[in-house]
Amino acid sequence: MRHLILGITSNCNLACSYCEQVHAAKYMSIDVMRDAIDYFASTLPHDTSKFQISFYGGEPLLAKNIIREAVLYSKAKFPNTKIIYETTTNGLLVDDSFIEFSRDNGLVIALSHDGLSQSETRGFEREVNTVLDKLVRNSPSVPIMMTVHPEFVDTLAKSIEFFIKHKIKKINITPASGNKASWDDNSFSILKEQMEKVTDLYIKNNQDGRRLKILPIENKIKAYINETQSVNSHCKLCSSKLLVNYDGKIYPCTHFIGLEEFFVGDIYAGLDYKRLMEIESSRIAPSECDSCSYNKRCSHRCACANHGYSKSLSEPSAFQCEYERLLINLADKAAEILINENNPTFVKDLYK
Amino acid sequence: MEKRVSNNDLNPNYPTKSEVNISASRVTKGIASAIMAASVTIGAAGCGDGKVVKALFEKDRNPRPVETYELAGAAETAPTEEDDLLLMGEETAPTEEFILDGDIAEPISEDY
Repeated sequence: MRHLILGITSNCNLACSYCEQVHAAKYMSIDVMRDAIDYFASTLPHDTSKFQISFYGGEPLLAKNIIREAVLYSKAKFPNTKIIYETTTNGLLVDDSFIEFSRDNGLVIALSHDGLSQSETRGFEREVNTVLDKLVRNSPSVPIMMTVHPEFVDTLAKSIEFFIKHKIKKINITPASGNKASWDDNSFSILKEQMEKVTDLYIKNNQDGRRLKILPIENKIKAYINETQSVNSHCKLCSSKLLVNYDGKIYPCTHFIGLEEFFVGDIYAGLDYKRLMEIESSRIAPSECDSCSYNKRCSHRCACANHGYSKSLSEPSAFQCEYERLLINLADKAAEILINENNPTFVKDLYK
Repeated sequence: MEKRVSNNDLNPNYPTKSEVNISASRVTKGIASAIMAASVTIGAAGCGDGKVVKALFEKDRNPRPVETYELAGAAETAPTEEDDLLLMGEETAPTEEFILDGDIAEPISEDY
């Protein structure tokens, strides 16, 4: 395991329209945080030279003290190891002191921001936009985590233009899932049209020498170039990631945090391998995928994505099928144009 | 929405890293870049010391080294910390598999 995710609080100061998390004023204690890092350390191979610690919520910045303590504790515990720190925040509690702390300690702050639909889906548009500019001034590579709700999907491309205008270079786009977001043929056709425009922006910006990364597109290109995504290379729960919730309980992935049916141990008794195997063995890819030409490049083995869209660990929804097909086609279109033009930064980045 | 299966051939017109990197067999692993021309593909695969092998390969993607040269600014292509980052909630495709304690694990970055 080389990635520790600490669910440091389930509390949140926003009520996003599509969020299905149950929020409560629960916080990780400093003792649990230290024990979680110690347990994680016990699982690392001796030759580990680098790993990542992420801070997850709720809104993780409601527990800034735990983030600070965890960074200091892990640095002291692993003086010769490179540790990448990361947290995703809604931005409301980002202040100068936290930005300074992040800069001094290599903590990457990713900002959840829904672009032009921010005021409808998340609120506090003006405040978060101020933070957005502040974060960009601090680090030009601040990542944006954008969720697209079917109701506001028609603003997607304009939202990406908005982020580009604010000098953002790395954007993740996730279509909302769960009971509060229902994708149908109509909303998907708008999503398709919008993603085509987004891909054009991706191509144009990279052609202009601006290394814009639209992650859903770029990850498909990378996976093809690296030949690493195949039907056999699906995620294996808890194999490289350890997610510890505020109470010390372990879950396979952020999507399953707090869901008792996915509880797979705790930091004191260790991983419950029997339970983990039960969950793993229930994941059987649908047979129809075998005959689909997109099979080897599709992410239908992602258990948390499947669960989000279809409530099944192994069964992707019809929406996922269409979205994966769309992403692969758009990724190939963009890559063919940029590589055929020998775009120097793009090519170096992708083939390094 | 209804689920459907695709039967069309997917044939991306850009090379995979291993197709380009075959030309790097005379050097060590490292960065690689590819240039695609009208009828041929020219790839350049390189190593950390800035030496690269320029390779020519036809559309059948069977490259052969043709010349070596220095790559200016090779150091600029070194992976940055940003490249290592795994964002939570990013439904990212596995970019690399690695063996961990005899098990096949999911990656957290390209560097593993």
